[in-house]
Amino acid sequence: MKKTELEHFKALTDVFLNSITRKNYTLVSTISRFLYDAYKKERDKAGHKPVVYPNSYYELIYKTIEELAQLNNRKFASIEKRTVGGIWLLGELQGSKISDNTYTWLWRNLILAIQYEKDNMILDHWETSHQYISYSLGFIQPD
Amino acid sequence: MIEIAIYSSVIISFLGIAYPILLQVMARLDETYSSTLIIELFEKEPRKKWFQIQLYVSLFIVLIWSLKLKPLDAFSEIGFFIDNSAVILLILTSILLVISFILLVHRIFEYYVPSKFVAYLIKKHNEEN
Repeated sequence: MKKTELEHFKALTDVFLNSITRKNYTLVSTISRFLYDAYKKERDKAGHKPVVYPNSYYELIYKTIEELAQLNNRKFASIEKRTVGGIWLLGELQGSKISDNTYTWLWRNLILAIQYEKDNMILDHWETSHQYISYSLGFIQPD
Repeated sequence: MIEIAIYSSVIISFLGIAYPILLQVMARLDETYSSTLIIELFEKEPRKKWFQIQLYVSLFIVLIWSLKLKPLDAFSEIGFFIDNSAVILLILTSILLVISFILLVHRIFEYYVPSKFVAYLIKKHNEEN
């Protein structure tokens, strides 16, 4: 991906973080809808291969978690679910494979939530991870 | 000649207002979004670059026009367009300058209103991917 291609995404990241800080719920929701599609587009592009997102995609999630952890605003619970909960990175039971990069960032996000002592965020992470593992592991036929 | 002078005053007045406006835009963007990246993005806007080029070219044409140079003998037979080339260029560049200023102002509005700016960024991102 060329550098210029991500300039607008990075600018969107800044507007997204700024909207969270200023509690502009409408704008946060608009950008969040776009982001859901942007991450899905990358997963669709990867097909059956492990999904490697551009670095800016991982950074957006990390910075958002940092912002949300400091705000402690339950109105952004859905955004917490999508970021630290891993919905944007893992998808919603679409069977996409996790790359090493994504795996590392999932842990980084979890560590960040632990550092800020956000129990609800930690639970969000394990809830989605559990769902992902349950869905991805094949059913074992008992003898 | 007086009518032509209006075009040159338009160009000169644009020189007077353009830079304070651009400076104000930068300050306002910084205040609204607190992001250097967004200011850099505005700096790279083709409409902003085009307006600045247009302004310099117009000023150069005003200079040429004010010198009141005589047409070269070699081109004297071509007639009206060569005899009045500086005036024609002055009118053309000032019209183009006004158009590029209007386009730039539209882009500034998009940057100022966060909902419009988000729609613009999404559109640009989707175009590039």
